[in-house]
Amino acid sequence: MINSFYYILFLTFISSQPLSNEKAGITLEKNSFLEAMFSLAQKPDNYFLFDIREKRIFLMSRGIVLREWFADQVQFTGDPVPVQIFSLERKNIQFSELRHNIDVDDNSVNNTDPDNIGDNKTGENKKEDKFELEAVELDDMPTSYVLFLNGGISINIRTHEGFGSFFKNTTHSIMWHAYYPIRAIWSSLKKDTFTAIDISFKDEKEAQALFWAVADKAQCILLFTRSGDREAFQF
Amino acid sequence: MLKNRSLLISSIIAASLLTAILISEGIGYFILAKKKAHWRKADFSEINMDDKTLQKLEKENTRLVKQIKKLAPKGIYIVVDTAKNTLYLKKEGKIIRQAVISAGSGNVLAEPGGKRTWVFDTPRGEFFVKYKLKEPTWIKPDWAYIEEGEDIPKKFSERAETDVLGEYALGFGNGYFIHGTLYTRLLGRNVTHGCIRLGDEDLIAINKASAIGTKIYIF
Repeated sequence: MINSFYYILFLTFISSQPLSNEKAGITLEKNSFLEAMFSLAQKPDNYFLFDIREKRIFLMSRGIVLREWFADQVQFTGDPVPVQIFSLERKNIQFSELRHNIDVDDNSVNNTDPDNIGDNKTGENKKEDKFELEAVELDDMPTSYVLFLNGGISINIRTHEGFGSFFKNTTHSIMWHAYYPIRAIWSSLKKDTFTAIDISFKDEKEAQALFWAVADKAQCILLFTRSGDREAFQF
Repeated sequence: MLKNRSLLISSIIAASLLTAILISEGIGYFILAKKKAHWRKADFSEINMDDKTLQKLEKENTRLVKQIKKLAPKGIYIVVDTAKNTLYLKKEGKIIRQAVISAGSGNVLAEPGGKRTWVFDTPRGEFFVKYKLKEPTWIKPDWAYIEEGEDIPKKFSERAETDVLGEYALGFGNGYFIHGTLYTRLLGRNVTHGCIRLGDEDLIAINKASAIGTKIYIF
């Protein structure tokens, strides 16, 4: 993964020879991208790279890719986004809302650590039949949610197949075709910016895993590659 | 007559509203289409850069790639996916061993009548192996007693519990360890208080492959 990532980075430098203005523009954009990447890689925190046009999302740390997601459909609308670092301001569903509180008074049932159930240290739980694991796990994560970044950017993550897909797809269509045009007028009147990105997965587990991985205040780079020379930012 | 008039007024209001919405939608679409044009093709016409500056910028970009590369871990490192409960031992980006783990339950424990609260998450981010222990002893923290509804012992020696953490433990700070478990049937589930549990064979392999300073990336 690490080699392919640097190979991809290398690709950004072997783009074809465009017109001088365009070459300068692309080099400037590359510089912004690398500056942002370097700034994030210097910190011990995980960060994200959303390669919007290539429909890929990378979870990274120290310049290496920890995990990769392949989206099925990606749409975007609103104001163009510069190559810079963005921070997650909030999610519409909080991870903390999904947590269970351990009831100390009734730890025979609610004790979340099966190590501590009963006296049997061999691991065979005498109450095995009754035991229900209370923990926040991947299956508990939402399959449809919104990430709000600074700069008026919202990233809507969803699955377009599986349970409730008709309702989700209808909601998405209404948002896309009815709400966002009105939102565009509103933002023009207010003279602020808004960008809406819609990322859709086939497999709901992928959407859930992304929710899991996006920590509070996570930082990210959104790569749209506006230039005609797409290869320059190929990932 | 009155009924017909009300109906007529309602129809006019509805038609006006619909027209207003449609006009707004049209204007909105026009604004979005204008913005979309910027997405399609960047306008670099205003950029005025001489060759010397361009070359300097290209050199700077090459330097940045080298700098980023320098930050990447050298040799073997560990990646932990707490959602999939999987640990990867990697070298130069390639997986050399994969193991099923148990990561933090994410549950919350509040001390009854007290001020302390614990959240049993496995920490995320970059860490490194700070110490390696053979046949580790678990010094039970306060939360373990509170969770079991027991009194917290006054003597430190009463907290020691042997043979519960497996053969080895790799500490990565703030009391968090990669260690073994008696409860191998729960591997693959989020059940711990934040530590990372491994099966016996995997623990031996991970312990052998890692050294003090081995990087651990958790997400």
